[in-house]
Amino acid sequence: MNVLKWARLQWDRVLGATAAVLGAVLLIVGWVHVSGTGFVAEQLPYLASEGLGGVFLLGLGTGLWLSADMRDQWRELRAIRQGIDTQNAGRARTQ
Amino acid sequence: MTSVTVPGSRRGALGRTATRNSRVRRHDGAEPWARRDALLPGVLSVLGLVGLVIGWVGISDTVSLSRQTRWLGLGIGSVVIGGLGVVLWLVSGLTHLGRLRRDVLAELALREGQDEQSVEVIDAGARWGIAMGMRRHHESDCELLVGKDVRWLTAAEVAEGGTLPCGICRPEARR
Repeated sequence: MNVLKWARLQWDRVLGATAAVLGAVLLIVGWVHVSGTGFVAEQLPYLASEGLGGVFLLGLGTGLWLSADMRDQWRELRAIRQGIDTQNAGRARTQ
Repeated sequence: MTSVTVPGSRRGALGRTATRNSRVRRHDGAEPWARRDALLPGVLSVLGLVGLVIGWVGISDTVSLSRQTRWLGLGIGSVVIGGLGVVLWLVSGLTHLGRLRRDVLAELALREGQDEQSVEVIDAGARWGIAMGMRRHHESDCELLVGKDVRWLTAAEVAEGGTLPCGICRPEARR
């Protein structure tokens, strides 16, 4: 399957993975920045931007990925229920 | 003269009756979330993001440790608020998903129970069952009849039709 088509279909997983990777990168960059200076006043901005931003993006990515899983389950369950309803309607007609 | 009981047409609805009667509004969209479910999580996530940016700008603007600590507090609070939004989003999705799963399982259980009861002899004179395409006749409790559209035959009809007795339920041996 075409990668673009796949990405369009799995937009929530793509977005979730991107957010999670970005969050992890931000955390690593923040750690490098914080460890590069001994002044707390210089460390705190890195903590507030890259540290907290990284945590935020990681959480967002996890949420999006779990949402995608739930969407899949929802679609499958709805398909089963529609199948049951169709069969019920068929039986009702033959009754 | 011969017939098979077919489960009622409303059985599909039976499984969902309990959910419909409950006070919780039923969601039946293409996704586990209705539009109203997205409102609070969306607002909380945006608030979290905005608070994070404000905290970052604020903390970068000062070198005073006590002021920086306050801005950092705002940032941490914003992350918590944003996380709460994500959690609410997931919880509402899981709730709807669980409800749909219970509906489907209830309907499947109902169907299974009705399929087991679906082979019933209506005509007291008819003893043996036969389904379309079968060349052997069966006892009414034979497993080979379960779930099939069964026609019930009397002893005279069996003799006339020339069908063979089933090798599993052995109708002739039970006489």
